Amino acid sequence: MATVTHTAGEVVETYLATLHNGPLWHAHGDNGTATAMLPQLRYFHERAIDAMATALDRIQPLEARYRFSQMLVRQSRVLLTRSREETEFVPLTAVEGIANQLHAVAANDWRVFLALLEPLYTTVFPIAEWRDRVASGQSAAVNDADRAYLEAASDLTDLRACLALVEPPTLPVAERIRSQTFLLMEMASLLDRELAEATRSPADDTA
Amino acid sequence: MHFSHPRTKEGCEIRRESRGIVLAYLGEDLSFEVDDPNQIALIESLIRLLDGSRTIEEITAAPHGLDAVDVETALSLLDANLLLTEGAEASPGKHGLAFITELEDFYYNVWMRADGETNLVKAIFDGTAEREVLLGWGLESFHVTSRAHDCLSPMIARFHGAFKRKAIDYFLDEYRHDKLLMKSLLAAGFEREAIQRSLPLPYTHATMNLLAKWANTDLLSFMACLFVFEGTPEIGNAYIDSLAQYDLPAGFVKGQSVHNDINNDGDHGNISRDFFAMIDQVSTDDQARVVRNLRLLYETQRRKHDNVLQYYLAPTIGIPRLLPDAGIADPVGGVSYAA
Repeated sequence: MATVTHTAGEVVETYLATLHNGPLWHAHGDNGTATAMLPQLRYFHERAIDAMATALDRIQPLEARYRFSQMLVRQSRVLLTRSREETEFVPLTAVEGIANQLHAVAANDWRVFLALLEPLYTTVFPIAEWRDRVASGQSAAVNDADRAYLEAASDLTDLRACLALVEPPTLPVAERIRSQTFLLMEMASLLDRELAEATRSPADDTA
Repeated sequence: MHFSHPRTKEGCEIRRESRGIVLAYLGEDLSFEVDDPNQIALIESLIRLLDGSRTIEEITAAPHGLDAVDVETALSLLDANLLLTEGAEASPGKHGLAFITELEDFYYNVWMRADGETNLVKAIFDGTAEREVLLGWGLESFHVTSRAHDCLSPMIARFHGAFKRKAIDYFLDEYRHDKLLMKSLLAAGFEREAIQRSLPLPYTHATMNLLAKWANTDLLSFMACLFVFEGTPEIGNAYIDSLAQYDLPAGFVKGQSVHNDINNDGDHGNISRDFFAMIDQVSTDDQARVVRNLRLLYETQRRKHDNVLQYYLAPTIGIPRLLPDAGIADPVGGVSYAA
């Protein structure tokens, strides 16, 4: 089976670079969107843990699995501090869509799942940017669990170490990574629209 | 203490002896021996209160003459010897068929009635849909059926007994329906390889991932939502009839029609009822979760319809949708961005 010369992370990075000028790139960049995203992110937190836990025992080699499990442990520890209301929230359909896309690839295509996590935590949900905004005191609605989650999810050290230990993807895997990345970015764009719909005031409708 | 309304287990016998009380259960005896003979009556009266009709607070406050610490000690001793169980009635549930017919009501009679037909359905039935939209719907249906098999299969390993047999029946009924829709699309002039390599619209993808998620993690939601994917014979037949208004290749219409006939012949619209007929009780917690999930599916389906209408009227990565090497498309149509 032929392999591509790049790691899974590089396949995504290269592909995203070709998409860089699109409208998706700056999705969720403004303060209003970040605030509106908070309850969605709280819900997503648990769903991401489910997906990571689903993929964990499939990841090879073992050293890569151990690095990935460190990421899972850090984020799941924070989940224990969440209230039930935060994680049983009814999400926007696009957030549910992203969470279920992750679950499906975690269950069936773990290499693709791993490759999707970095763009997820950097582009779809710019976690580090939100973490910095919270640290600078611009978001009063954030609770301790949010802060801890933003801190844990913005640290991609273990994920990158894991990806570096995984065998480079074959060409069919690279093709699936590109397809799923594309669909993820499309859904991120639709999430932006859903957020705008959800936060639109009645005055906007009559204007 | 785990129990809210503790009671001694069925078959546990209480026997008075000269030095105390003996509880006999499954061939084992537990003796409460006391120095003061007056204590025997007190302990016996406490044990007789453990019939599952009282809370621990009520048992403690009852006039048996023991203080709260003694009561707690006695209950702990009984529990440690596996003599206690829960006496509270299970929370009320609903028969499976009662629940699934309620879900059908929500979907068809409450939510759909409130929101009305989608613009896609209106356009198709009114005869005003563009050819590209009809073909696009055919492509999205192909993606649904090509994912269906993979989304259904996890349920088999998670079911048992009669449910597993029903699951296998249904799985076999659904086998390779994508081949039928592939024929339909080939008749419309699309290339096989392009169809196979094409991407679904994001909300089509999201719809199928809901099904995949539930097949893996939540069988009750999975079974409850199948009726939405299958639709009703009335809806399916109306769609096929409406295609006659359009100038479409006969092979395209035939493929859609054959698929509809298979669903009707197999009575697939009742698949959720078939499963829920085997369920004696659905708890209130489970009901709440499944209604919530059905609503998520409903909203995703409506967005899928909008997605189809908007994309196929202004396709940005082609029809069928093929992965661009560069540039990103606005997924609901409109603008394409080059790198």
